[in-house]
Amino acid sequence: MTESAIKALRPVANMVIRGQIISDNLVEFGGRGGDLSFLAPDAHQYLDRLPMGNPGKLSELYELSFDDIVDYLSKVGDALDVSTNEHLQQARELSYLTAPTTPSIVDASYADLGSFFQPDAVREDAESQIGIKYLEGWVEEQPRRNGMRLKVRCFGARTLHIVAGNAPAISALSIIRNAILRSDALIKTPSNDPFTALAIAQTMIDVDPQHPITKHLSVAYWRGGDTVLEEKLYQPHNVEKIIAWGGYASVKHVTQYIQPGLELISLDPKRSISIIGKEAFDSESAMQDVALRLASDFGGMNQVGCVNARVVYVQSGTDEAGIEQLNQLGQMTYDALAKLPASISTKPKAYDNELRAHVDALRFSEDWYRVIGGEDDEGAVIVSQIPDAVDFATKLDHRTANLVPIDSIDEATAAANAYTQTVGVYPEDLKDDIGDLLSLYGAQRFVSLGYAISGTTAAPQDGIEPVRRMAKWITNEISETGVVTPPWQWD
Amino acid sequence: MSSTSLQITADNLQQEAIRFCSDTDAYFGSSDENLHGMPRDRLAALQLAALKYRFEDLKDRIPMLQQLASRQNIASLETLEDVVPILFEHTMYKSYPPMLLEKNRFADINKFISRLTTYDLSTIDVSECQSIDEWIEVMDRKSELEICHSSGTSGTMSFLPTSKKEWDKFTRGTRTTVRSRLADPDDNEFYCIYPYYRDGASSHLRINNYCIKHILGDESRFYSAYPGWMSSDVLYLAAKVRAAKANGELDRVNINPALMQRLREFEELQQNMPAHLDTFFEHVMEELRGKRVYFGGTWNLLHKLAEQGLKMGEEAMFAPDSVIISGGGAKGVTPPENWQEDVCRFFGIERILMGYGMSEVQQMHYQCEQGRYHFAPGAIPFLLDPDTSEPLPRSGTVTGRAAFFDLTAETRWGGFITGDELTINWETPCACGRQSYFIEGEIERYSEKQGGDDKISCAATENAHKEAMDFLTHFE
Repeated sequence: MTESAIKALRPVANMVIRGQIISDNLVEFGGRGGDLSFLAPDAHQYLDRLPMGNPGKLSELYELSFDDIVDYLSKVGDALDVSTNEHLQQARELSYLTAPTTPSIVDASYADLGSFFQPDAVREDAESQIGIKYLEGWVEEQPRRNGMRLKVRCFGARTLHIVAGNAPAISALSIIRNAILRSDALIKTPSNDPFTALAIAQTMIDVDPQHPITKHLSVAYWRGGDTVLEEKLYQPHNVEKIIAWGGYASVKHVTQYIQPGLELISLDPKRSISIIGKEAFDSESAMQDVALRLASDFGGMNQVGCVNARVVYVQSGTDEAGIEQLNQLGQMTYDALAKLPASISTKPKAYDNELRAHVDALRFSEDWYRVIGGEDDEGAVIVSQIPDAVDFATKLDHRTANLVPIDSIDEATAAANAYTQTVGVYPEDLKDDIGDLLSLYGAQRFVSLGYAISGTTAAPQDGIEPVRRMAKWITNEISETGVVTPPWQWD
Repeated sequence: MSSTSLQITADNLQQEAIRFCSDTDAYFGSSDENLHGMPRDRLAALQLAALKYRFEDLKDRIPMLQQLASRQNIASLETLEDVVPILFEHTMYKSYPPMLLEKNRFADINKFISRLTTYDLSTIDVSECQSIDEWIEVMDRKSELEICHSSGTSGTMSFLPTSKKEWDKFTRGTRTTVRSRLADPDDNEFYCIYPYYRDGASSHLRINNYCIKHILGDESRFYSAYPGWMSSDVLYLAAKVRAAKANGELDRVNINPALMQRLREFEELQQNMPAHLDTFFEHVMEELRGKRVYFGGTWNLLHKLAEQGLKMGEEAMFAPDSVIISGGGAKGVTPPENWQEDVCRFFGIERILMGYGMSEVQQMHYQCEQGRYHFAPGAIPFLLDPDTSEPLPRSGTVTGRAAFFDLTAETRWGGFITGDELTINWETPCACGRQSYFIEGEIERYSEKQGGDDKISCAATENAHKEAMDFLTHFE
């Protein structure tokens, strides 16, 4: 078959290297287990061009002011209008096939992509994560106590972003962070989203192919763990920082290349929980409110994210009356799930067989579990009838939550561990009681119940400040012999 | 033909089917050749009749089956495919709260297991049991079962309520396979070297007693590296500690200090295993050199044994008609390429008899000379659509998720859906001459196929979690 015939059958995820679109030397990827199979340029053929060997080339980004960066990103944001942008339209169509979510959720994510690039958003990100003055020049801080004058500046770096594919916004966010930091980024796309980052990069080429920001973004797909490729690419003379999102496999592959001069910023895969105090049962309307919030926390984005609740601890009490009211809350939550707007939640794309087998088996253990829904793979609420989470808690997915009754809120603190990211809390002031201890045990983010999938990019993430770490922090130390005792005079 | 004679024929078929599934080994005259010699049509009729009999006999006696059948609106079976909606998933054997095991609530565990077997276990007093080992000891003594369990990687263990009678039947079948490989079936003295525990409630250890009883004939012919009982509590605890370590919450896990001490001892023992095996070997070699041995176990145990022997410079240690049976085995670990050659070289045999099987289906499907796994007639194979679990056609060459109905199970439900992907050629008989259906090509685990495709998510899915755990800690 000729190359054009292959192309006709399968979509192509082009490669972008610093403003140049590459669409030849195609090889096939994906296609296993019903996945979309797609073609992409063979990264091995472009290995010498993918990294930016000479870091001095970053200097052209330093001819831009921060305002220039904001202006350019704003133009790109305006161009990211899916009603007119063909790159986005194509990417969205293809993402229907690759994304773990469903078309209405993909549509909503794509409609929102441009908003991340708007001036207010970019300034807020930059100011809160770095401080714009540190991006703009050397900032003289208070003299240090030994009399030394200190200037600090935040510089860009040569970075590799291994992005996750469960939310298109991750691609947009990575591109914006790269622009703010005046860095050079190579984005390695995942097979569950090979198209979004590419569509943004192609849009930037349309907006201004010669713009330094366009020319410091590359996007490529190769199979993660391709050691022949990665061994050559992941070297300090090519890359200084690797930002790896989720997916233990991606992080595990990367760890073997970490060495002096090559830093790993690992946004580890995480899970989230919710904790609900007894106030949820104060009234019928409080229960309805909690049910809707809870449905949003585990049903939003169809539970594909690290932010989504999976196990939910509820201070319902564990006696018969307590379990009864938890069952009621479970039913209300299930009912609320069906009412979530299609832009954030729908019947899942494909319910996992293994998970279904686990859920179905519980239907025969009525003494210990009540399973509400799930008959049609639409998602389910499993209400534990004793204070114990299901043994497959780590498999909960596709809008499936496990409500666990507790007597005392202390029992919920046991639920946080090194894998915990978000904790949805109700009522609000419960955070005061449990927040500190949960943080020590591993929780990284507390949200008002119902807001797990909401949030801001202008905040720490996963317990670290990744944007600060993506940059290089350089000091200029000015010491005058009359002020700072010189080493040669130390006794 | 009158309708009366048709009736008689059906009755005859049912009587024959009952004989067939009640003791498959006896039905085929303890002959491996007969076992695979029945024409396909005749076997299919017999299997269908036996399936109907099993369902009729068990549907009101196994509560879990009763409930599932009623949920699926199945009152009787007419065709083989009718059974598919009521096959059990592996999850059925572990759908109890983890807390029951953690808090030694064995009366509740018995209540759970009673729903999976025809026996009522609620009458057995387990109120004094303070550990899994104590509970198993009581259950072995007071029930008709020898329950076996999985290694318990996720906080619970699967409990498979296999009866002593079923273990007997299974091992008599193995004996037939083993003896069929001898020139003179009456000259059938075997010794067994087992580089692990003598006893335990994991399925690979449960079989040892029966191997001694039916294949070796005498305890003195069984040489285990560790003569005692592999503690189920230690296995359970090891998995729990491993999970707690990976989650960064070890200090918060409540562990009985006495058990923790046993876990330490076990870990020490694992560490000292190579040295211990050296000593064990020296002793065993002296006694068993040149003798005919039997071994049945996972590739890793077998390979460990062979590596140890080869390291000591031993080759062709045993009689060339020794019988070595192995199969898939250690989960998630890929065997080294040369493991079979190592084993053959050490034992001095031509080939390993490879079997495909699982604890939930007590039938071994052995590989023929053509390298194909042939289905034992006591189990009906099915292929299901991996997405919908609908049965796939029993014609042509078909690939799907394997399921089986174990017709020999008489106190528990024999229907089981595996996590394996197989290909079956339903048309062409095998060149080896056996009539039975067989597996074409490799057996793959669906769980290992997923997640291998570079899908990256920020959510810690089971796969990511498991991989991380496997990477951080190695055990057993």
